[in-house]
Amino acid sequence: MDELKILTRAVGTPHSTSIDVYISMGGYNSLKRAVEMGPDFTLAEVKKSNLRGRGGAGFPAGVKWGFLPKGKDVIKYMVCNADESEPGTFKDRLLIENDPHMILEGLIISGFAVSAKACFLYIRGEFPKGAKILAKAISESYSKGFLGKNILGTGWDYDIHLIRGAGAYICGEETALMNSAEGKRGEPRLKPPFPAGFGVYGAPSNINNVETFACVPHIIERGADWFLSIGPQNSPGPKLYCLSGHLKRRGVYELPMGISLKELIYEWGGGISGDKDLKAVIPGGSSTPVLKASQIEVNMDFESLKSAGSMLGSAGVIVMNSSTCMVKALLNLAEFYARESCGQCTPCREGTHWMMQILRRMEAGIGRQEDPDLLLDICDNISFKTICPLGDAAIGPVNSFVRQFRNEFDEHIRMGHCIAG
Amino acid sequence: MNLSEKSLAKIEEAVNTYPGKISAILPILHIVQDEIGHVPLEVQEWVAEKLGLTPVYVRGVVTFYEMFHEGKIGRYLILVCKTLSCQLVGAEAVIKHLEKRLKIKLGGTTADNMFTLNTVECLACCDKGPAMMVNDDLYTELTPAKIDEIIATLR
Repeated sequence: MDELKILTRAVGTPHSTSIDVYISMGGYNSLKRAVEMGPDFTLAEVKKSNLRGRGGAGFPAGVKWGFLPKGKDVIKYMVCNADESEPGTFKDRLLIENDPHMILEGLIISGFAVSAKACFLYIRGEFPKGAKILAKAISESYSKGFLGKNILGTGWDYDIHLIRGAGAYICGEETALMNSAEGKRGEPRLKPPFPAGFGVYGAPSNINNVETFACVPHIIERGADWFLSIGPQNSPGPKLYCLSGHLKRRGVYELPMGISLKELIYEWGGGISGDKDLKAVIPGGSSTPVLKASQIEVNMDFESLKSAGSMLGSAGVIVMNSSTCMVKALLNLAEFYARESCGQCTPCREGTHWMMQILRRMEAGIGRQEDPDLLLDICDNISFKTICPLGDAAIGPVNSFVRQFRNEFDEHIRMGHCIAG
Repeated sequence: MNLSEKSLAKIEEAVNTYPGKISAILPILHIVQDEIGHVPLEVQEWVAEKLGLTPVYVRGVVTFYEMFHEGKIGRYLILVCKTLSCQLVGAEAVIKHLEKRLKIKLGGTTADNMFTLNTVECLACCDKGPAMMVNDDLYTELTPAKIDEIIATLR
């Protein structure tokens, strides 16, 4: 199989970020087609395509857009989540730095489909280069009349507001992002009300991930049936897989949804680096439960990974070879969540720090025999007891590392050091 | 506020850009920090006045986000990605090398105020780790020799 060249078609093309190059590759024709066919057609086509959110949850994008109240009189906002921060995920950076207009075209088409007033494009603070590229692309798009007043003679006005975050993983959570875009501390909101009814500035809003929006121009250009023909029908389309860790060929690979994890690791990733065997894989970004080497015969789509006890998440595949100490690897992720917990909810604020401290003492050789069970107990006390999913994201690795590699944890405690390697 | 004309103009633009005025707070803080390197309390008071907010509100925002610094830091802020994908390929060795080379510990600033060293969580370039940012620039696939070269160039 060859790599797909749909979302990544501009990667490697000189000056691919410029609007002229984008237009010369057929760019903004999908917007013209959407305008010609009308908002209802556009929304129906995206619904039919079964494009599922690439941010991690996999919710059908068209259905989500349909939750927004109808009519041009209601002020509504589109929101693009470019706060790419899930450890092991680096696909949105690739799209932003290589093909910003594809993202913008997706944002304009989706705004048109739901008659939105404006769009907030929220990019993480650590992407200054990406922010510059997007700012330039937005201004180019205005100058060509794809943004601003009376776009392509439709009478529809639409702005894209670029906002740079400032170093807070939590702002990738949809309501935290909205608070941050409003100029507040990026603390998540209680739901309900959901963003479709009460989003940015309290107005109905729809939020999707960069990669989701990037699919939209292609769906409008080539049709929902084409999109459905790629990968499994219940989870279709091209997907950007991020391969990192102990692999010979790390990188972003664009392949159909549903490719096998084994093929990803051994064919595309070139196999395990350092002449070692595979030990464990996190398949979908740091919050998704870890799989053992024996579990990699699984397809990379939302349903298959769920059946295997994990999640597709953001398809950030982190590969660990046999020299990896699972206590140390888990400590690394526990430190991440402790640092990034916003502190609003007690179970998450306290629990993530307790888990980090317990893992630190284990790593220091002074772990206690009861510590693995204590970790699981803390997980239980965080699970579903917080405003946002960060708490549950934090326990994903803890629960799965301890359960899947229990012997190694017990031995590490008994010996006072790692037995791997 | 003692800022360049260019920054002041950018701030005015930010204030008038967003559907809600307060949305300009992060953009303004970035503009200020880009110019003077941090956002001290007097700046926060000025921003508060500009947006019709209380100083404590602005401080609440500033202290929420890791990238904003209330105190002075070195001219170059080195942030080494410490998260799992980079750790697996040698982030710890990068940190150790930088500490030795700059003769400071994580969180410290060199005596000549040139470098502040710290860690950052996943920079989203896990395929090119170990990685670090120095101010706005990303450096990837770091080796001790490459780090020495970067430091020498910046000095």
